[in-house]
Amino acid sequence: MKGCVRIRRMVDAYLDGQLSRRRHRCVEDHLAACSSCQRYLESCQLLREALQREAVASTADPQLDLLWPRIEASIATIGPGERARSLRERVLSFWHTGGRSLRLLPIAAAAAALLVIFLPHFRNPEWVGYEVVIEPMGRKDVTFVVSKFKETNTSIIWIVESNG
Amino acid sequence: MRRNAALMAGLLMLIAATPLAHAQEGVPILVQVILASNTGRGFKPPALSYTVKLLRSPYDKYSSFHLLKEERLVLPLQREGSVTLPGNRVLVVTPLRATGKGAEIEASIQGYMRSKFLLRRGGTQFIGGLSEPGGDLLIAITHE
Repeated sequence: MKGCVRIRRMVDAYLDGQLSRRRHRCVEDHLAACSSCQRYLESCQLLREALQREAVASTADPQLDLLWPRIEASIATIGPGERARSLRERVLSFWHTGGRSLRLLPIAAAAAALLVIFLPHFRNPEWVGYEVVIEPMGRKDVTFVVSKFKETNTSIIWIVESNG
Repeated sequence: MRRNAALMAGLLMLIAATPLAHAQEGVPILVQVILASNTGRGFKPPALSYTVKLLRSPYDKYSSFHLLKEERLVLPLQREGSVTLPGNRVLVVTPLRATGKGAEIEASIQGYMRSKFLLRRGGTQFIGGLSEPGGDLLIAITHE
């Protein structure tokens, strides 16, 4: 039939309702008279419906319900012993390969302990800024003067008796 | 590996035991009682020569020093040691804590004062000013 190619180019727009009133009537008039274009239209409609169903299924239903049983079945096939052995193997593997530095842990701990013990001996922070503490005993006519001599690291507590 | 660990443990025990041993054998303290005056020509013990340098103003009024008494004490921690002073006074010395490098000492003279100070080994703390006929007492407490 004459004009089938031109009509079939407009089928998608016809199904979407995007044709002008004049072209819409033109397509309908042609389809009423052309069985070939009617079948083409029906196939286009079926394809569209199928695509729409697929699109809805892929977004709304990710088919996890189908996947979970398979995952659970896979886990169930590994026994507890097998799982424990797997963990042990992984730890040993780490120890023998990447975890070699852990062998130095006792030495590092000993070194840290040495630092803690020796550092006060080297630094003696308690000696820095330590003030002479004086507590009067009994007599109220006694005052004290403290003089420090940095050059010899000594100090003098001088007892001053007011009657003396 | 085990040998290294044992070696390290032994070393740690040795280090940890050093201050304990030091504390157990006692803290050596030298107490010197000196009469400082500006009368006469008192002798100056060689050990006190540095003291003269220290005694600047207001302590430079003394021209002579007489060593009246010298006592060596070896005191365990928290144990008191006493030295009698002229004028029926008593100096009580107590090492409170000690390391290999020094000690914290408490020194008290009954009726006057109680003091606490840190002394490095070889360091000296002076206590002075107690009046005595002919001068003033100067007490030198040295951690030997």
